[in-house]
Amino acid sequence: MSKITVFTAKGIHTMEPTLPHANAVAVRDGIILEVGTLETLRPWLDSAPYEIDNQFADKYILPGFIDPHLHPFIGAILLPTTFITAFEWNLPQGRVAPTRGCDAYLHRLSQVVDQDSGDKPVFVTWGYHPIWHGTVTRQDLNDISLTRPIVVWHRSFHEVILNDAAIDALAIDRDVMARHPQIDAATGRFFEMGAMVALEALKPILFAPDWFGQGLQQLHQIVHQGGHTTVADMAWGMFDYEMEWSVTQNSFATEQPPYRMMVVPRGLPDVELSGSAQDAFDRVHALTDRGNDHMFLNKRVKFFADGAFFSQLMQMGAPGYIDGHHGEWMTAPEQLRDIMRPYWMAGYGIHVHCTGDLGLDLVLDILAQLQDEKPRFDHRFTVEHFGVATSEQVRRLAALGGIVSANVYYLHELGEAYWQHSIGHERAAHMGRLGTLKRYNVPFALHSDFTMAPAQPLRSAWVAVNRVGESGGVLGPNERISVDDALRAITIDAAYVLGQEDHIGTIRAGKRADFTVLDQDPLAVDPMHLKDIGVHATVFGGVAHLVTD
Amino acid sequence: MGTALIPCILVSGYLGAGKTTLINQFLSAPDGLRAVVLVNDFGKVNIDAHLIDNKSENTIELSNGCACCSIGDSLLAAAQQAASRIPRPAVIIVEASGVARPDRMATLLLGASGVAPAQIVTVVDMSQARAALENKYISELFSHQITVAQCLAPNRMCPDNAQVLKRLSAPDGITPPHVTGLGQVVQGAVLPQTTARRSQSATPLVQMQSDLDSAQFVRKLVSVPDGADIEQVHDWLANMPQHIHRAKGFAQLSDQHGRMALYTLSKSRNVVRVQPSTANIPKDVVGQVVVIAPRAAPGAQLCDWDVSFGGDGG
Repeated sequence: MSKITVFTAKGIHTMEPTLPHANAVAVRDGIILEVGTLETLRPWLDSAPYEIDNQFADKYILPGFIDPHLHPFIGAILLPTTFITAFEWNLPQGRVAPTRGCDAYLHRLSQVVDQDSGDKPVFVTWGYHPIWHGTVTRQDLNDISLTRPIVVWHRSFHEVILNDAAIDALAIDRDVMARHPQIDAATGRFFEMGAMVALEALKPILFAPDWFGQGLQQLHQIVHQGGHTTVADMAWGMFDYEMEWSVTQNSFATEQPPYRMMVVPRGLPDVELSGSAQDAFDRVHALTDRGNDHMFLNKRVKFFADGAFFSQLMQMGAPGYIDGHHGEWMTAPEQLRDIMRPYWMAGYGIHVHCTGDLGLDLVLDILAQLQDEKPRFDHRFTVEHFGVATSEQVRRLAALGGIVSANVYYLHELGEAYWQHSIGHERAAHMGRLGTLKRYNVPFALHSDFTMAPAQPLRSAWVAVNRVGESGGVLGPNERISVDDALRAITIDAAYVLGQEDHIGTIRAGKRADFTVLDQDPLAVDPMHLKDIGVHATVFGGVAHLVTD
Repeated sequence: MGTALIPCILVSGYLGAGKTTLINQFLSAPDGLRAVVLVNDFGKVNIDAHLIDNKSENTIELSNGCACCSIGDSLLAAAQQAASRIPRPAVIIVEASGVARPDRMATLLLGASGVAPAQIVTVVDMSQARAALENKYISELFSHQITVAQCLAPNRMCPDNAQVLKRLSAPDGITPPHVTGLGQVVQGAVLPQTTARRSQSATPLVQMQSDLDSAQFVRKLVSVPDGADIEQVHDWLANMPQHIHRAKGFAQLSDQHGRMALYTLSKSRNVVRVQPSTANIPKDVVGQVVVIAPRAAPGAQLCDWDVSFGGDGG
């Protein structure tokens, strides 16, 4: 048995209502022995060798943060790009300050292209958005460089702008550019389906081992900097089950990052269900017999109902979208039910990507039918994202025993835009309605769906507590939640969503010694400053890992 | 570039509509045409063993010159590969997934080099149509797949066909023309290019429809040149002969200040609309208006159906 370590702090918020506050916690072999004060811990310290670690004496300790839904592979593709964004991001290379205005954007782009080492075949920047950065054209990019291929990748992922050097480097067919309705050859703008032409050509670069390996390394740093000690890959097999497993496992083995990853497989292994659901289930289930300390599975599975929230493809019930367009199904409604059934029968925890209120209707109908066929208690059926919902749906979800993992960051970045351009004020202001969940006692977690939102739990908590839109106005004040509830949603309730509440999520005897160490007390600061609290360090399995900028 | 684009046919339809059956039927009798078929799932493709020359992980080569390839994770890459096969395919046939919006897929396919704009054939299981139309989750998608199709391949006819078809049709009672097999569509798509060597500005998307006029309606394609005056176009639509049932299309028009923009033109039940459009329209369809009249309209002989837009400015 190893020595006991006692971490002291200015304050420890255990997130355990029975003993919410403490100032010392004793750990050994990665497990919490006891939380309390140096006095209450005394019997442990009298029984074995120990050391008192005071390095966090002026800090605040919380349970290690948990992001129950992100996508390491998408992160690994995006992170090696150069971020120029209208909103603040924290990256391993440092804080990315907001850049707004067309001139500022082009100036910044020109700067970073100059500074770039040129070790990649093309220069890719991500985060451009015309609302903030105006119209940027092929000519503007040619003015920055005629020789260095430059790819400007839109914040939404659905658009790119290329200079001529990039068009040539990616060998894009100029005939296709000339006749494609979603490519503007003159301005070098490739959007929606047209963007796929450029992205397809970029794929070999983005998926090359050096790009990708670097991306995973940066992902580890981001996860650490956000204060996480556990995350979930909420769609293992999005590209390829075995490839993703081996690449990620290798990266964990060599980098030894201070966090663990729950792996939740995609439950429908094909584009659509062509054979029997039982057969599809058997194939996925057979993959789950693996895992180690870093990457583990836990009889949970992921499905997709309706389209992406950032793309306005969520399925909306009446009165729909202002412009009359319709959302999409990612899985055919009856197939969604059919493919869920064998997992439900086998006792799996089911997670469903669900963004619009019509999507939620479908998911609730399916859950009701599954409950009819085989009633289950404590099944943790989880609505993932929870973009737009009605209060009646929340009440029904509560009755069926469902829970929620929400991307509340949507509200901050999209709330005002969707008010003006998509679904109007009432529904836009109520997206991510956590207050309603609270009123109906539906447990909920917050997630980033990184890279859809920054992987910073305190930033998500800040949105949940304050509900401020991009310009600073409050959207849906009655849906705000307390700081305590928001902190629960990134610790114990996130653990609950993942079925890991016995091991992580609070600080109490017997749980993993996973902590997040903060510079300030989140329960004491002005809630508007929650997002600005510095993450000083994490403790993972009893070992401290400082966050260095 | 010289070489003509390879015709492309997108087979759409909701789950279980019979897309694979239609494709299987075509593959076993392709009428001498070297087709490449892109499918989501090999498992469902049911080809007689004696027709199979060679089978690999992603491709089945048939002795009749056709090939069947798996779409894998990128339709665009699969289409690109199909187009660059040697020998060059006469036609590319793509099977859409059951929940796909075929118009979006067709737009995606425009990104493949050397491939002509896809013509959409939607397969409809008539015995399921009524239920689909009453299902709150799929009725919109189901109707959408039909309204964006250039032709329909209905199957499993049922007693209330007529009623169902009525509900499937646009508000003005027009359904796309019907086919019973892919062969008809493929011939329609391939022939104009190989025999007539039509210019690049030919419009397969719309041409398709006039090649396959339905029993009840006749369609004509009318050009509206870029920069036509918006008022004149409006008057032209308003003053069409009485029997013209409907007109619809897109054109680049100039307003009274001489500003050019894309407009949607339509006439239905004598209501004329000329509205700015932000839709993503394939460029070769811009400047084309489809005009539809009932075949049996009194006094409307096909030949004296003159609805051309006055190109001389009159």
